[in-house]
Amino acid sequence: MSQQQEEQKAIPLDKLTPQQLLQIKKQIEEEVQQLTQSLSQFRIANSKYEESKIILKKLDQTPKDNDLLVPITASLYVPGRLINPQSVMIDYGTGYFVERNTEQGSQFCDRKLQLLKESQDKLTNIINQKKQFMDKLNIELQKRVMQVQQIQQQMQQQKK
Amino acid sequence: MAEQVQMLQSKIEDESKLLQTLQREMQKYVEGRQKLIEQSHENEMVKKELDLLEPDAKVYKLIASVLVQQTLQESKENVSKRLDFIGKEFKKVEDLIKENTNKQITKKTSVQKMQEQLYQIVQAYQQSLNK
Repeated sequence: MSQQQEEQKAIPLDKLTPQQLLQIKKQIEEEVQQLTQSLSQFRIANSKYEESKIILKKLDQTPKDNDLLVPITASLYVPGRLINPQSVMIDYGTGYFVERNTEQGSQFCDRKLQLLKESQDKLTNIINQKKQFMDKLNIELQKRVMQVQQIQQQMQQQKK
Repeated sequence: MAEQVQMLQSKIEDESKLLQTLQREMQKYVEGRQKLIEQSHENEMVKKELDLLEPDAKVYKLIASVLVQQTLQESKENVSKRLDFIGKEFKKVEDLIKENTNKQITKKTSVQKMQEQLYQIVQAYQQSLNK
């Protein structure tokens, strides 16, 4: 990402035509939009893990042999009993599941949250860099507009 | 001259079609490469988590709709093998991408040359008319 930016800086902005500047601006705007969408997906994943942690804590407090309803399908529930509130099955990914207790489950969530936070920070950094570059582009575009206005004014004065 | 022009034009058309096929191929390669990167990430994460487990931890694998118990050792080996496989596939795709890029460059240069030739022929003919 930073390599791309360096390449763009290597071509000084004042040497680009206004159309090129507009093109680059559109491109960067699209990129920023996509990245912001990814960022919101991160937030959703974040809240899911936080929710899981809360549920694990509640599980700890539920007594054994508690009555509950077990979902068989999306609309069919069957009455059941909570046999072991301490054991939970964790989806590790790629089809692997591990049986752990609630404490270890909570630690797993913490680790995932940590990973998410790191990725989110990187992403926010990149988005900010792109926004800064867009600001530079906008300043350059404004300069061009002013230049054109100046030339027009001069031409009008010459006609008089 | 008309024959030459026609020949060149049809050659340019053929080469451009080949170029388009190459570009479509390239898209598939890039998509495949992206998928491999995703899979590699997921498997890396699973490997890290498995490394944190104690040896008697109960690990289950999802086979069809059934959770089958596996030993920690088996699971770790399985994930390592998957990562190796993904690494090999990744290298293959990268080589294919390199090859495709080179082919595209050669095609583009040959199309450019032919277009230049065409331009020169047409120019020479126009000049001969003006005389």
